[in-house]
Amino acid sequence: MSEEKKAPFLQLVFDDFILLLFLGVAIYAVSYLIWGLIEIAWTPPIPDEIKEALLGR
Amino acid sequence: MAVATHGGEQWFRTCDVTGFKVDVRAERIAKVNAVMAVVSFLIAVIAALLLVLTRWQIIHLLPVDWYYRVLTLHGLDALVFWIIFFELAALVFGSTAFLNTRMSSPFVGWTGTALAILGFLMVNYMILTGNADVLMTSYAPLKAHPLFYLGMILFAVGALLIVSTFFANLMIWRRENPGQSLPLFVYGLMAAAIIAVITIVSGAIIYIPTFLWSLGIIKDIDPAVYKLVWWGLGHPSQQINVSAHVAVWYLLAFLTVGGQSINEKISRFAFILYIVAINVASAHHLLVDPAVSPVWKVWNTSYVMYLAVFASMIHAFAVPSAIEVAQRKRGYTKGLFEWLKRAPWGNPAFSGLMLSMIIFGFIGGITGVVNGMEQTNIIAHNTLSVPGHFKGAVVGGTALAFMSVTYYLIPLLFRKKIAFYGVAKYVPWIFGIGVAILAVSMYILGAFGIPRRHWDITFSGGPFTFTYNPVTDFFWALFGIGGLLAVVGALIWIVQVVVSVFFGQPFRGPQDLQIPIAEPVQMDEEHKGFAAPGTFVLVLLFIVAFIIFVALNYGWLSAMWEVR
Repeated sequence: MSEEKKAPFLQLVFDDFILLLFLGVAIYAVSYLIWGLIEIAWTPPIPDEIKEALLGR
Repeated sequence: MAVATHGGEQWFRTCDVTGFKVDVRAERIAKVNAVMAVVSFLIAVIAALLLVLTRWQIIHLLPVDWYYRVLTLHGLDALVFWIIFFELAALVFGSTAFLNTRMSSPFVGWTGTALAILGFLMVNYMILTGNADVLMTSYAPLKAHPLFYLGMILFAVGALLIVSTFFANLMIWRRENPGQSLPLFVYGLMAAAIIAVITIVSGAIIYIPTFLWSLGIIKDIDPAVYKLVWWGLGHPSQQINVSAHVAVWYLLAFLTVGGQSINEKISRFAFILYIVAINVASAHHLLVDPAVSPVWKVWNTSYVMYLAVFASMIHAFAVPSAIEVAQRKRGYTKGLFEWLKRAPWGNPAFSGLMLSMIIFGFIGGITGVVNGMEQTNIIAHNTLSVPGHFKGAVVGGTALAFMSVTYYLIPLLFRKKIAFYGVAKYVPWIFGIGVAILAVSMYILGAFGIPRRHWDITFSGGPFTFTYNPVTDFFWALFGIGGLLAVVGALIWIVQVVVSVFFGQPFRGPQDLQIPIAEPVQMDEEHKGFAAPGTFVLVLLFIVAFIIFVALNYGWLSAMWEVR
């Protein structure tokens, strides 16, 4: 009785393009996009006196 | 050429050269996208000629408003439309013909193609009518006509639809071939398609609110948010290119000398590194932005990005070593470089492949790493060095690889003979040498402080003037010569493609094949010692050049601020 040889785990990962799609999107989204957006959101607004000085009002 | 039927409809033909089963419905979609790529390339090249003749200060051809208009036109047609249309053609053709499988949904493919063409027309029309002088980046609060943004959105949606058919085609193939791995070329295209999804989704996230803002529905667009998200489109769109052109390199090594990667697992691993690590490199466009922290910048431009650089270095060894091993199997074993000397240099696809790898690695790659590091970026940021890097990476790397593989696509996809084939062997050299001179001269001009995107660096008529080091005159002349050579090479290629495809003689079978296809070489299962010693020496040379260039940049950086 012959058993079908199972592909090695790494080959299964390499061949799973849906998993790779998920990894590609997730790493980019967390490392670049969401983290970057959080940092921009936490940036305090420019103080009014500096803003007015820059705009020459 | 046999045509098979399925349910009364003619779906497949069998290629009489490759033996591939070609779904003719996919082939038609691929052809239209390929033609659109060449149309975009023609616009980009004409724009490039006008830009070279304007920035070259002794000619200074265009007036100021047309300079920025043509710069916008050039950026979008060269970096977005030419490249992405070509990649869409490759995705459709690669996921059907190369896998001997059918097109999952021709309707979705045609809908995507129609939307992409409509977007292309709208964007180009808006730019040429002066309604979108916002450059490729269109940074808010610069505002273009709403139809410009709508055109970009339609193009992105169209491209995403075609990318979705690529994944659906892979699913059909997997169902028909359980347990098999994709051929390496298609695997590279798969990496490009995944990066394309990330790119297009980022484009949608930023262009939809910007479109609403241009209509007055949304009051403000935060410039910092715009820049962050836009570069999720802007830089990864060039990473699609990298993945796609590396896939084309593997294909060309196979077609021109019968070479195959000596370790496919490692090559596939390198593509996975692109998928997971290359897109965060967008962060280097924000290295001087105050809104994001140094931790975010350093993590994304150093720790993660270097995985992608490592991947490129794997490919930089894998492709030439595939060529070397194949050549050695043919008996070219004398010394370190007989395999290279006796390579088919008269084949334009081979010379184009080699020049593409050299220019991409030595110019585009090395300068890209220097531009991408937070420390050394500061001496290149917003100077002419930045587009100098693009010229090495995208024009010398991607465009030349795509031009080279087209010499195979004309007979195999369009079923036409190549017009003026005798001229073809000169095209990669004219174009490649021109681009190399252009890229290097731009990089050096940038090092002398010449800004990018600047109509008149003499500030003539302005309240103050600035005089650059006189040595820049020499590099401006090189810039002009390199630019003109590259334009001539590109125009010859475009004429060849247009005449072949629309007016050329039909390709009737293998007897009409002008460009040779090499017999595949049987690769050894295991390698003892150095399978590719010549490539190893070339890679060492590359690493030495890399170290010298990085060290020079740190030296220049230290000369700018005294370090105690």
